[in-house]
Amino acid sequence: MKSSLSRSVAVGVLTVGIALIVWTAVSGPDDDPVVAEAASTPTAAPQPAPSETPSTSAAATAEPSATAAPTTTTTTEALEPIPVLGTAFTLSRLDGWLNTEATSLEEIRANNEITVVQFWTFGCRNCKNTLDALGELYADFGDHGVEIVGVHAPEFAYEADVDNIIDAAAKLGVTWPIALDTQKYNFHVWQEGPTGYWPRVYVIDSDNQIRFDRRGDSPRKYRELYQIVDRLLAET
Amino acid sequence: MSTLVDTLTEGISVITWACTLTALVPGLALVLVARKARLTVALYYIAGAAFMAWAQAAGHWWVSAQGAAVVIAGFVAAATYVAAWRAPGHSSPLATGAGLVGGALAGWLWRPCVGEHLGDILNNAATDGPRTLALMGLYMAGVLLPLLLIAVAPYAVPAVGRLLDRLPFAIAGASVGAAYAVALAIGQYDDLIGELYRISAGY
Repeated sequence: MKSSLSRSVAVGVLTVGIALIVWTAVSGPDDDPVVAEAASTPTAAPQPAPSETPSTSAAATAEPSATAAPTTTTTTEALEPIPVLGTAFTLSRLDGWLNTEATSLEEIRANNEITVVQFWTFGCRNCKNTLDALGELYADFGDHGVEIVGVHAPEFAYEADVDNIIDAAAKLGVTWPIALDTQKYNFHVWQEGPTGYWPRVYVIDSDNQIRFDRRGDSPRKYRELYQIVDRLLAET
Repeated sequence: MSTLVDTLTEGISVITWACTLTALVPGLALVLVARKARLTVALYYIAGAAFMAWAQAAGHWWVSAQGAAVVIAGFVAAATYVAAWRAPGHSSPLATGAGLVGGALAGWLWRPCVGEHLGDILNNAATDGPRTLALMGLYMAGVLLPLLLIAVAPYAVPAVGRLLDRLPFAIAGASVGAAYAVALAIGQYDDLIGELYRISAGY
């Protein structure tokens, strides 16, 4: 009796499991996955310590720096203040820049009110999933004090080749500045902890404060990113 | 309910991704090696992997997979295969330990393929522990579903059990396990992951 029962349960588990795999394979994932990489602590001297550590956990405790300001966002709901998540790091030990005359993050920040920094690599499918949203953001706000910096941190050797990056950027329609973080120094400095992620996006305000920080490619989060940029721009 | 189903199916949808294979393949090998305790090893492997992946995202685990830690991990990995091989039955601590430690090791070394729902788990792990831990368990159950199916198959179809009990399967599992442990110990595991990814991506 017990053997019969356990066999029935096993058959059920096996059937459901196989059915789930088949169903998922047929329907396909909604979003391609992104790849994360275990962090390696940079061996060189650390960058100047930020006054606050940029992390998502800080969002729960951070005091908002300002009350909600007038915004162009069309909503009738009361908007939550946008929290300050910490001071942004700089970008250093880069191997160069593409799509810009600028040579540093500070230079870009000085010429813009809001800077969106995204860690990406062209071979990462989920990074590609975000490019349309970033392109829309760039088209709408690029001439209004918003700059996007794509920090290209390659996962594998073929992604570190500058010619490949240039080709990929052209094919993918990435027209915003690209910082070449070939050794992934900044990738690991910005993303503390044992694991870093592609893509990960930050919004930095005019005071060099991080106001948005998300991992992954969720379209919902990138819509939120658009709204945050819109509101921050209105605040300034 | 939708979130639960979506999280599970997102995990299943990335089973064939190289970044998933790095956690899945050592687990499959461990289950094959554990001839007398496959189900226990599979279940604890999933639990261990889920907990460690969540702990890293939540900031409760700060040891990076580099340097001496990875070398030690290689020896620990080898020990889990020996323990799984020697486990006399489902209730054996060797089976529980092999699954749990093997899973934790995989969760630590895992380069997660982050879709929308896993992204939500990772983004909220530090502030919403219990919920994200449960969701991570569900996600990992999807990612590692093949382990569970192989462990359950002998109960459903005894002929499969007799097939899996043959020595060549255990030797195949042990060989993969040995390669995994050696790759870790000599610091080549990252290269192995990269090569898996390159093959998977067709580059």
